[in-house]
Amino acid sequence: MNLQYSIDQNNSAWRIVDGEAVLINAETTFYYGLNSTATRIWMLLLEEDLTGAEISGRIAPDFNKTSAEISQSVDALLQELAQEKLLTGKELSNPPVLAEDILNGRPSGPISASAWDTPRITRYDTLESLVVCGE
Amino acid sequence: MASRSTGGSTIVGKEHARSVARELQLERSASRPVLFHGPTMLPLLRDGDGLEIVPVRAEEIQLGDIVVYREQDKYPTRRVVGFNPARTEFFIQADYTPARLFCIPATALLGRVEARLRDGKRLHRTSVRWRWAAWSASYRKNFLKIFRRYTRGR
Repeated sequence: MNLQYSIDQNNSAWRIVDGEAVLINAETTFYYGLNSTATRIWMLLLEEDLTGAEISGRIAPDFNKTSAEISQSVDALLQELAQEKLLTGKELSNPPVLAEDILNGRPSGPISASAWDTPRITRYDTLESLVVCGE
Repeated sequence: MASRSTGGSTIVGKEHARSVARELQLERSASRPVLFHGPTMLPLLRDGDGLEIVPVRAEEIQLGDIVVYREQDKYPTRRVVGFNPARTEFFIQADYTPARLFCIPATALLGRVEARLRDGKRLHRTSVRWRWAAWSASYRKNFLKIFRRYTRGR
């Protein structure tokens, strides 16, 4: 199954704080934190709808990894974001054909590579109804 | 409910994330209005009213606008009655207790109240009724002075 993910703009709102995204789901009122790697993935999805393979292919070189090495954790994050209804997945009838170098990653060398940190989402509590006051 | 994570913790802690999430909640108030509490903005706003709040830049705020700002973990909502030329500081007061004047930095501003929802009816800030409330709130003090002088003289 090849899913193309997009951010559910109606359901989610976000802000980047210290390089990490804080998200809310307006429907469930849960709020979340993404670590820096997951935030990177979120930012890519802000630009355009992407599949897990496309995301892995794009970010792997920045961490001096191959797409295959990180695809499992990227997919796991995407599934979790979709479960939390922050992303929507659309099945593609014609999956995009990725170039060999994208599929394998393009290691850019250790000098510019960032340390790989498994992308993760932390789900915090629900937010109670917001009350503003004149007091 | 306990937080759930697929790995270790993030740099942004839970409490900081919560305060950011609260502000995001404010920004989404057009689709999910926030509740107003307290008597200090009577008669325009009263306990239980729903408010739609829109984030605005300091330059966009005009005299008479009702703004929401950050004060520790609270979100006071008051009317703008003045600002300095650079708009780095705003002077605000509550309609019901206009004697107290507050000064807040522009950085604390979170948004402007765009509409009030009460009994299924929506009152937008551009409506005549809203404008009248803004006008009378600004000039109530002078009205009272004139009224008292007039009634004393009779």
